[in-house]
Amino acid sequence: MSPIEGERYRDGPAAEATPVPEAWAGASDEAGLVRQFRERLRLFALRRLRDSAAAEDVAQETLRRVVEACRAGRLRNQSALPSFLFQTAHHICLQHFRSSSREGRALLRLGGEDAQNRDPHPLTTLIGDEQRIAVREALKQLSPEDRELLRMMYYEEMDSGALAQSLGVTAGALRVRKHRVLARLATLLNSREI
Amino acid sequence: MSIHEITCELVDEEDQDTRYLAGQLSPEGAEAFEAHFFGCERCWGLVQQGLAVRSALGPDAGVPHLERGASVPERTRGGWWGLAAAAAVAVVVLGTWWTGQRSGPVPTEDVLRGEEVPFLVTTSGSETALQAAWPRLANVDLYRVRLYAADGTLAAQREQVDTSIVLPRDSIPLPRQATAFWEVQALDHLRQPLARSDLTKAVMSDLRP
Repeated sequence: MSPIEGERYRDGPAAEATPVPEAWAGASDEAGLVRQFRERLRLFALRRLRDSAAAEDVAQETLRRVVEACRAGRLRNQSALPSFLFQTAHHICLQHFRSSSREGRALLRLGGEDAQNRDPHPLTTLIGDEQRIAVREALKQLSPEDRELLRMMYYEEMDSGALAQSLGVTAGALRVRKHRVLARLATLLNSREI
Repeated sequence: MSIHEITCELVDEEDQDTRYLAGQLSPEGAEAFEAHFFGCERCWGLVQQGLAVRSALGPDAGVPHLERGASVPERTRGGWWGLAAAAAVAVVVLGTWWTGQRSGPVPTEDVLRGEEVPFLVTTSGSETALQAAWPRLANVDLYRVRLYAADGTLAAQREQVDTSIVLPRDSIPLPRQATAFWEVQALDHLRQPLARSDLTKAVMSDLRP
C-alpha cells in the first residue's frame, strides 16, 4: 500500500508511465514535451557531467532530436517517449563525455584547467534564489519535528533504516510520515501561488 | 534499459528517491531509478521535492531546527551531490509550482533562429533594485534576461514569461557603482532564441546625478 494518503499503487508498471498523446499533435505537444522533460534531462545530465552549461546543452539537444523524431514519425509508439528520451540523453551524454575528455586532455597539455572540473557547484544553477527563499519560508511553517525529519532525510542524508531506528518507528511508519510532511510542504508552496 | 524495471512501490520500499539524491544508490541503481522517473510523474515529483528541501536546508538557510539529540547519528554526506548540496536549490517543486526563473553561468553563444531582430530594453534603477522592461514579442514562450558586468562576466540570469524584471540589489554580485548591461533573449517553446536585444546599459540608481 502506498504511503501517500489516498494513493494506491497501480497494477502494472506500464500504468505508471507518463501519459503522452496517442498521435503527435505538433507544436503544442512540443511545448508540453519541453515543459515535462527539460528539468529531468538537465538533472540526468548534471549527474553525469557535473557541468551545468553542458547539462543544459544535453537537455536541449535531446529535446531537439526527440522532437525531430516525432515530427518525422519515427516514434510510432508514443508510450515509449520517456524511454526514448532517456536513451537519447544517455547517448548524448556519452558523446559529450568523450569529446570533453579529449578537450580536457588538450587543456591539461596546455596547462589549463580540467574542463570536467570547471563547475564545482552544479546544482546552484538549477534554480534561482527566489525559489530557494520560497521553499525556506514554507519550511518555516512546518512544525519543528517535521522540519527536522526533512533535514535528517535530505540534508543530513541519514539512512532511512537508521533514521527509523533513532525515531523508534518502523520503516513503513517513517515512509508514511515522510510523505505526509512532503504533502504539507507542497500545500504550503502551492498556497503561495508563485 | 526499460523504465519498467522499477515500480513506485519499490521506490518507496527502498527509499530510492532519497538515496538517489544522497548519492547512495549504486551506479546501476541510480540509472535504473532515473529511467523510472523519466516515465513516472509521481516519483519525479518526489525527486523535485527532495532537491528543493535539501537545497533550502543548506547551512545558510536560516530555518530554525530542533536541537540534535545524542542518538542522532552524524551526517553521512558524501554522495554525488556533495559539494553542491549546501548552496544548491531545487528544480521545480510539484511540477507546476513555479515557472523557470533561474540563475546560471554564461552559456555558449546562442544562435538565433532566423534573422536577428533586436528590440529595445528600457531600464531604471533605485537604491534597492534594478529594473528592465521590453515589449512583448509574437511567438515567444519565454524571455531569458541577463545582466552582465562591464568585463563581460554574467552577474545574473533569469528566465521568465513576464516582460519586465526587478532584481534586488542584494542579489546582484556587483559593487553599487559598477557598470552593468542588460540583455534579453526571446525564446520559443523549444527554448531556442528568436530575437535578442542589444546590450543596454543598466541604470544603477535613479538617484545618481
